[in-house]
Amino acid sequence: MKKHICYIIICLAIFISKQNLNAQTKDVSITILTADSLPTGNNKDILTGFYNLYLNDLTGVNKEVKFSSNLFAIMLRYNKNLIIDTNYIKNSWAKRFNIDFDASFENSNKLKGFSMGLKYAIIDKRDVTISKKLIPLALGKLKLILDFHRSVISKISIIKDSALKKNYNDQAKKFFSSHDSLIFENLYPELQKIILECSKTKDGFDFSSVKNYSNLSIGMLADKSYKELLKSFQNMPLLVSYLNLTTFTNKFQMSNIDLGLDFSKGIINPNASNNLELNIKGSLGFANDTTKVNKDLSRSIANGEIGLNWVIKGSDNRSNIEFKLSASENYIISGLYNSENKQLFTMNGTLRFRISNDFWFPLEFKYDPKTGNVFGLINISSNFNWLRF
Amino acid sequence: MNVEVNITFKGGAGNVTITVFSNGNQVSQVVVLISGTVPLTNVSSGDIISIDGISPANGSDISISVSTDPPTPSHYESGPIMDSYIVL
Repeated sequence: MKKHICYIIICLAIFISKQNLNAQTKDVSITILTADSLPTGNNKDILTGFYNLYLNDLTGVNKEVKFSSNLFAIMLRYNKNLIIDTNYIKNSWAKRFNIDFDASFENSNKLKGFSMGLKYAIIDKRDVTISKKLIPLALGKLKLILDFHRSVISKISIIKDSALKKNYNDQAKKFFSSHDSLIFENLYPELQKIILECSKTKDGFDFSSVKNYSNLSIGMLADKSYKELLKSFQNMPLLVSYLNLTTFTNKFQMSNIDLGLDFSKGIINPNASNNLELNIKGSLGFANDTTKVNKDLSRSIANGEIGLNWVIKGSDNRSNIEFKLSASENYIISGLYNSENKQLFTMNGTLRFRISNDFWFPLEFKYDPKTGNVFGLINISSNFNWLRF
Repeated sequence: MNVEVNITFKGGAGNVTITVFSNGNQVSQVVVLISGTVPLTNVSSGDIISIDGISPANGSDISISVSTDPPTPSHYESGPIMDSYIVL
């Protein structure tokens, strides 16, 4: 019975992903919370939201199928109307769920074992698409510019000559557009006069006081201001709970169950080239006690960690190098092995380099102050987008 | 003439103000908070419909029920919207 359930889950995963891949060429791009929309590599470990299938070595001895998705992304595949604001906000709870599934097969296509994970963002103030603060903040920040736009359009509406009105309106559209922008010095002189006249209004937006205004457009200014506001959301708190289940590779029985909470919050202004991020983790794991003949989950371990992640950004404000320092405590509640300490306190460091958009190279080390031992390991972190086919 | 402006916000909440200007005067103004159709009355040829506000994460689609220059429907990406259409 368990085998059948596993096969059904895998088939469903493959079917959904194929639907996604097929649809990608037809549909407009739909933004969901993605791993790369999150600001740092440290956060990528906490919550991912991509919609992906990864097939490994399907013709070889050890076949593997990995599936990762956001629940909202799956729902959206079957109901395109969910993207419309009223439906989107109503179903925003689904954006908080991530599902991971990893199954491995023997050469004879027999399922060897699988692991699956569920993540739920209890607090996600970083998702601007469902934030109640974004629109009021953006309107507050751009109020003078939006008023200024209306006053320029009002002046253009006075023009009697319809051809001239059309020309001025066409140029004004570009001057106020953030995409197809036309800078001030390339506008008709008469339109320039209208714009400068409107910018002299008391308590209004004074475009002529902006440095190098002749090489700028209002669209560019508004877009910059809006993007700065979006970045400020990167510092907001994110609290994610998770449950990971893993089976033995030769038996459909749980070998590991992990429950945990992961919290992060930015500390310094996210528009700065450096940022500090607070990260607090807590987990409870149940695993097989290998000293016993029977396979069970009698070994349980609690873990807590608090750390600071130093983020160094590139010119595009994207995180490129990160250094995380943390202190962690491991406590073995039951199933202590002979050579183990019941309690272990370590100082940890992780240095991460971004190799590409999807690919991080982390170098981790742990220091045990009691014994003076240092452990190091290299781990590769990727969302496998680069392997997507 | 009566004009209808249809707005669809995609991927989150948006906020748009629609203002009709006629010969330098503001004829009407409506603030749109959710997707839907907004009726505008007493609109004349040569008037300008100004649209400004914030478009959500997946953008907005806007269409006007009468002929305009430039014609609609129009799609706006996420971010500030500042646009204007002359009613023909």
